[in-house]
Amino acid sequence: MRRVGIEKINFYGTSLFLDQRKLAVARGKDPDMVVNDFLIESRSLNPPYEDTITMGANAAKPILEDEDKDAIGMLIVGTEGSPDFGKPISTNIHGALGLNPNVRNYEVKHACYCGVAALDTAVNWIASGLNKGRKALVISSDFSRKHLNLKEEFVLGGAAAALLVSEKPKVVEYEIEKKGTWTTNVYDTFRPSAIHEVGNNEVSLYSYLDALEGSYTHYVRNTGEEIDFDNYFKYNIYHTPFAGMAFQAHRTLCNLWRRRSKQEIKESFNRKVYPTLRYSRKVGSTYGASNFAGLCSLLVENDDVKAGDRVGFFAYGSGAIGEYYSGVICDEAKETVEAMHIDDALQRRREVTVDEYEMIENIRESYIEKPDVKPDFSILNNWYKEFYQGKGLLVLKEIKNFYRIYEWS
Amino acid sequence: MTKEEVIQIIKKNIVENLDDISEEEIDPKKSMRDYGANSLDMIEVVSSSMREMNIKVPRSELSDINNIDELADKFMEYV
Repeated sequence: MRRVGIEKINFYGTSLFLDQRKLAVARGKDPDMVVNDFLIESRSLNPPYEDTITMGANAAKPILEDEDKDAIGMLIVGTEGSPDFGKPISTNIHGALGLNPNVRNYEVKHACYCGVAALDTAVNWIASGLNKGRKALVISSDFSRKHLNLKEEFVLGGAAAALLVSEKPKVVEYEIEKKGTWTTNVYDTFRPSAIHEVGNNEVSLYSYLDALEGSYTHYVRNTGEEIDFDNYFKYNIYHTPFAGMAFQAHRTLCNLWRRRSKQEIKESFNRKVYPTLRYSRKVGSTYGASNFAGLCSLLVENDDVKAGDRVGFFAYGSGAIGEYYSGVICDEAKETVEAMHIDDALQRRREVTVDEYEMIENIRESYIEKPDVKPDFSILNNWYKEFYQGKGLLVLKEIKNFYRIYEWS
Repeated sequence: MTKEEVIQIIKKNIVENLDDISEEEIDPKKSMRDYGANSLDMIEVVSSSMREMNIKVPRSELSDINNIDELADKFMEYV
């Protein structure tokens, strides 16, 4: 079996953020609970001229050199936030990035599993040898809808990740024969219209954990090995609708292997999981980019990560599916991810007040399903000029009779 | 297994998973939230109790339960 994994990876957390402590105070909630229990410091927010297309392209651009653009033979974009029910956003992104025309492209949907669904297809294509040496570009891009004053308002956000998947992995090499999958039919969180994002938090948490146990058990069975959970995986990356969920997920798998006290679990969590939450704590919900955010976090946050360390990954998509898989860190992983300067980009984001956040969410919602829109580039004292102009980021310039027109800033 | 035994297992797991609480303090007619549990703590109490009783209730059936007594009733359907 040939080697397959991530050769390059980048994470894009948009250009604005809201401090969740301030949101908690504005909503009469306890800010300590939001930050300490749910591990959410801030959430990212899009200005009106960004969407899943711009975020995906902006995540991908820094990892692509001209030779990569020629070598790509497949582009798959995972999202649950496409602005079109027919035309896939992979076509917009293909055009914006200037990839060669001999590329198979499509968009995949399965709530937050979409990114790993896209990755899995790319990995299998390369493992099969049918890629004939070519690479795959996998993107996951999503953001929340408007939930002003609702109880789930603290677990929103948005982010995009882009990965170049090839036979020459530099970041992580997947153990492609080790995988566990678990599916059920449930309405936990879903998007039944272009505006709504609805569901039941408790159903979703329970369904997530059923899927975690189900897919991990299946993973263990498929490996045919007796797996000592504590020592087999050096690090554990879990899907994070909010960063604090990773603690509960880890608690579940720890107790599945051997029951122990909350204190002992906390110690294991701090060592094996906490370093993977650097970016989800800053952007809020990472949707389909979650596992990739975790991988970038681990490599930037932790100086002890070494080539050969095994990472266990759990991906979850509402609806629902759970998938457990694993990979091994490569020699050049840390330097490859650090070259993207993800921290610097997140630090350049502008903080918005609660009032500004509400204004932006209302503007964004007013554009949905409108045939003609000229996004407001003037908001936040012309933030466009400061963050975007001349920086080569993709923005939505106009929607004209439903045609979406993008341009590089 | 009797319902009293099921309640006893739930109480034991509440004590293990929450800070500063003893079994004697727990009233089954109350919700775990009344004892300072957040939604993640409650999920863990449910999971570890099920493990101890060796039963598997689909967690999606657990979302509209209001107190410890009702949780015990749900578990009794699977014991």
